Amino acid sequence: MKRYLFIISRSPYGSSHALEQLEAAMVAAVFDAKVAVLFRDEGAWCIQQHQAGAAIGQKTMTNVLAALPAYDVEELYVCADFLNTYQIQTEPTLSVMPIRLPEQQALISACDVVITAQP
Amino acid sequence: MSLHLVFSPAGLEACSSRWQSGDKFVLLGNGVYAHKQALDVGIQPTDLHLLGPDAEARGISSEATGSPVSIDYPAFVELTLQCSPIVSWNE
Repeated sequence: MKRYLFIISRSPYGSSHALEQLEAAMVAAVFDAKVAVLFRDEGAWCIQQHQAGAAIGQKTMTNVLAALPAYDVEELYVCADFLNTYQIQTEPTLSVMPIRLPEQQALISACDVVITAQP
Repeated sequence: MSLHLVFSPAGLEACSSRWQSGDKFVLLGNGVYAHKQALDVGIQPTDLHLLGPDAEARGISSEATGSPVSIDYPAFVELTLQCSPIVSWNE
């Protein structure tokens, strides 16, 4: 089974990058791929707690993330350095593992396919 | 008195060396993520505003951040009437 890594590098709401990457990750998982997601740099804002997308007429990102386990996307990682620098308050109901840069390097090299989809 | 509209963290960076004491600031869109850095560059909490709906959507609230004031659209419009020029920082 191929292992896919989707890297999300943009914050939610300002662009469709994060949502589109997640939709692609869910599709990959439906086709029996082993899927992981890494939130790096501004992408880490996706897991900030107390989001309310309805305030600007959009889907709430943390609700979309909560649906990932239903699609067998259960490996979620976030850049620990960005979390610390910006003191992001992680949504407590999400299971996202903070990892440092060396672990991110190892994660990337362990995957067969890495999709960054830079906007 | 200028009104600086900061649309992104990079926008704040560009703005941070180009404002004068007494200027007002509105952080909107992804700019709301830069609220801590805005205070770090010396902007007075009373001059710093977050656009409420944009902050709420992103999980950034005045209570959580301490001092910046959340404003709604009518208050935003009021600020644009009080200040001149209005400078957009959208990097």
